[in-house]
Order: sequence, then C-alpha cells, then structure tokens
Amino acid sequence: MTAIEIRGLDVRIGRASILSGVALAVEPGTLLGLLGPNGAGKTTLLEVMAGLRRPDAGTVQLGGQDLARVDAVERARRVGYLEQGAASHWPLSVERTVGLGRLPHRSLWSRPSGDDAAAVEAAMAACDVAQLRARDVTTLSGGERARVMFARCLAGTPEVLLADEPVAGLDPAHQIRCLQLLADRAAGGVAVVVVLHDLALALRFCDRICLLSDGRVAADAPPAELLAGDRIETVYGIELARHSRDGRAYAMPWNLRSPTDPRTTR
Amino acid sequence: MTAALGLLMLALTVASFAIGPATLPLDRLVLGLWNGGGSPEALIALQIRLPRALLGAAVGMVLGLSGANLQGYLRNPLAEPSLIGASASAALGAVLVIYFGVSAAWAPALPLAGMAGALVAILIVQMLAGQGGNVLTLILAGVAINTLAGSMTALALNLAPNPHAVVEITFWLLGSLTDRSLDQVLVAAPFMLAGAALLLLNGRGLDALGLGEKTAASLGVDLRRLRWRVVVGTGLAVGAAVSVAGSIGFIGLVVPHLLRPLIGAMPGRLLLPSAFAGGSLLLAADIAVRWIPTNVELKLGVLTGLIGAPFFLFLLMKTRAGLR
Repeated sequence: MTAIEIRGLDVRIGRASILSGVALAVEPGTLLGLLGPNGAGKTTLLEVMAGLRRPDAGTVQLGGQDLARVDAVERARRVGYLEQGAASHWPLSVERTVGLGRLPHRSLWSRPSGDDAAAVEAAMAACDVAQLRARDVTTLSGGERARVMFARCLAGTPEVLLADEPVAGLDPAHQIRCLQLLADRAAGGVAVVVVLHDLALALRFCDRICLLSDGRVAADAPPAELLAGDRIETVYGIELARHSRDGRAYAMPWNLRSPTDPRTTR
Repeated sequence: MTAALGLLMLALTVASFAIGPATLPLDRLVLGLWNGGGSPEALIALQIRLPRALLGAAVGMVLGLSGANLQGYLRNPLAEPSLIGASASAALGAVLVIYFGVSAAWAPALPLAGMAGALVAILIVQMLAGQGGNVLTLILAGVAINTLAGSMTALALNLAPNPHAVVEITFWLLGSLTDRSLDQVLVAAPFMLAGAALLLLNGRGLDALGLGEKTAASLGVDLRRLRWRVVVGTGLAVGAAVSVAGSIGFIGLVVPHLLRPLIGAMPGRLLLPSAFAGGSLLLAADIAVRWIPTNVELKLGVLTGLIGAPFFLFLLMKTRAGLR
C-alpha cells in the first residue's frame, strides 16, 4: 500500500493556479526528492500532503484513508512536517524544543513518558545536537537551529516525513548527514518527501525525483532515468555537467541555457 | 514553583481579608463569617472584607492568566489583555450604565453591562479577524475596537449631564476593589471561571505555536479553535473582571515577564503560575493602597499603572539592549 497518494490535485490561491492535475504516490521506504524552480509549487504540495492546506480538487490518501477525514492529532502522529526555515519564537532549551515534536503523542495533561524521553534522545543523537541540549535555541547558528528543528520533526517518529528544504544553511558535512539521515529513515520503512534545490545531492541520495514545473509534474523517475533525458535542463533552463561516481550518475548545474536554444522553455 | 505561588496567593488573600480601617483580629472576623447574623464583625467580614479579598485574587488571576495566554498566542512579550479590546469595551459598557444612572438603582447592572460590552467586542473582533487563524488581523481588529470603545467612553464623559457623573465615571475607570458587594462578585464569578477554564486549556496549543503557525498546525493544533478559546476566554474573564473592578492595567503585561526567568519561556508552563502570580500581585497592590497614608485612598489602577509603566520602560530598554 502507498503511504501517501495524491490524485488529480488542484490548488488555487486567489485566482492563481498553484498546482494543477498533480498525481504522486510515495511508498513506505522511499526517499522522494521534490525539485523544481522557485514558484513551481513544491512548498504548496508539501503543505497539502501535511494536511495544512485543503486542495480545491483531487484527493490525498494517507495509508489508504482520505487525509481530510483523518483526525488532526492522529494525522500529526503519522505525518511529520518540517517547515522551511523553522525557528522558535521563545528562548527555549534545545531539549525542550525537540520535545515539542512529541506533543501529538501526549494527552492533554500528561507529563512526558519514558517513550517520549527516548524518542527525544534518539532524535537529538541522530541530528548531532545532543551536546547542545541545554543551549537556548534562539542563540544557535542557522545550521545548528536547522538541525534542532529537524530533530524536533524526527522526535515525532512519523510514518510519513515531509521536509521543506532541510539542508538550506547547512555546511556540506551536515548536508550529507541530513540526507543520509533521511535515507536511513526511508530504509527503516518511512515514506520521505524532501524538497531540495541542490541537484547533486538529490541525484546522489534520492530513490526517486519528482520534478515540478509551473504547478505540474514534469517528471517523476529514478535519478538515472531522469538524467538520461533532458527534463532537468528544460525545466530549469540550464545546462548540466554530468558525472558518475561508484556507478551512480549525478550532475551539477553548469551554465544557463542560451535564450536562443530552441529547447529553452523558460 | 506553581504550588509556592498558589500558597503565596492564599496567604495574601487571608492578609487582604484581615486588613482594613476597622482593626479586628482575624479570629473574630472568621467567627463572624462563620456565625453570620447581624454583628458588626459579621457585616464587615461578609460585606466588606470578603468581597474585596476574593475579588483581588480572582481579578488578579484572570489578568495574569489572560496576559500569559495573549503573549503566548501573539508570540509577543508586550501583549496584554487590553490588546483585543475586551477591557476598553467592558469599561464602556459599565460607563454607560453609570452615565444613565442605572447602576445607582440596581448594583448588579454594572458588572452585567460591563460583560455585555466585552462580549460584543469579542464578537466584533472575531468577525473582523476573519475565518483563518491569522494573528495579525486579530491585533488590528483589537486595536480598532479598543480605539472605538475608548472614544465612546470619552464621548460619555464629554456629554455627561453633571459634574457628579463625570467624577463617578472617572473614579470608576481608575479601577478599585473598594466597596464591591458580594452580589457583584457573584454575578461576575461564573464568567471569570468560564473564561479562565477556556484559557487554561491552551497550554499545548500555545507551546506548539511558538514554532510558528504552520508547524503548530502540523502538530495537530486547530488554530481556529485555539484563537477562539484565547479570544473568548480573555473576553469573558477580563470583561467580567473589568466590569466589577474597573480598568487595572499592567498586571497581565508584567506577570509573565516576572515568571519567565523562574519558570522558562514555554508558554504552556506559564499559564497557571501566571494566574497565581497575578492574584498575588493584585492582592499585594490592594493591600498597599490601604497602607499608603494618603488623604484619599489611592485607586488600585493608579498604583498598578505607576509601578507598571516604569517596568514596561525597563523591559523596553532590556529588549533594545538584547537587539544590539
């Protein structure tokens, strides 16, 4: 069964059509990269999957259930959502902040249980922030804060994990660590959808890449297959430098396509 | 910590009950309260001291609690209960009743009109703020209602039929717990209780909201319901408080700030302690106005303002220093 499945999705904001006719299915154990130019609708699509935005048309199913009918707390337990540029308004300790990820698992008046503490501990260790546990989260560097917020999301032990640009602001080592972590979660049976702007990282780590362009799915394929064609070039309007390492093909953006190139769509 | 604050408030409630112009030992007052009847002790205990002590605790509690709620909800440490217009509208309702002389004929009219004013304000603010759970529209709607209610109160003063009415309205607006009857307390109490109950439910939602609206929603928080509870809870509780005690500023603003260094900044953990600390602070202030030797007793709202405004400035300077 698919962990999350979208069919015929339309989203409009005011008169602007943000997403139209989007279909996407993510199985448990898959790391799906969601790519596309700025304004392609990646964040909106992620919000719809997280149940934060009602689509104007189409269906979203979570483990075969209509997402709109899943109770909000139940949904929060099953779907973890990492907001782009997430931050804390209050000067809380790192440990408390990560602990907020356990809110959907706790009843109204109860104190955190042993399970909660264990999940928070594991999430902090996985994101390499355990040594920061007592620090005030508002005084951390951007990269450290991003890792704390990522740990907050992991602490909820979701079966679907949606991350909006989790590597923005991270140094290369932590970028790799972050994607490795997402890949590990996927290997553990979680369905992971991650919005990325870094092509090389996406091609290196993702099982599948969904390429959005102007609110539509322009391609949805494993990285090797995607690189065999020229969809990436067409959608972004760039030229790629293709390489391979250990038998895995990857590419990096090299040049803008010249505007006279007949294949340039943008 | 919470328990200690609760005990402090309890002690101050007893102290407030024990202190007054007529020097009576506490045991005689309690006996008077217990035995009832027409003895002077019983009358003083039941009609003067008890309402004042209970009101001090209750009004301070709801001011502290709603201040903690609003600061958590608006994610702004300078928010306070008057921000959503409930206090100003409750004051307007009460002023109208004084203006038309209804309160002189029937005492409970004052709290009832105050609460009606607050309720109308909440409904308008909710309507203006729209369907989404957005925070900014709520602040703007609150500011508008606040200004409108303030202007109407000014209009009532402007058109007051005689100087006596002006004095009465002005004094009432200054805020005080003196000479409130047990009836007035009983009329307002259910609304304060209902409002406080709504406000106490918000801990988790406010904690999650500290991570932003989207993340809070993804953690299962219903933002519309949360806003409803914050606005209606504050409206009911503060509306009822203002309608018996008049406008008492700065308690709701200051209390969460006093507690954050002790308890931490997690909004949910501040709720109950803020209620107890608010009650303690108001009771202490009300004891102070009775102690400070002035010709005319200082109004409670005047004292809290005099202490609160410099504290506000101090906060501002600390915030500025932190931004550098």
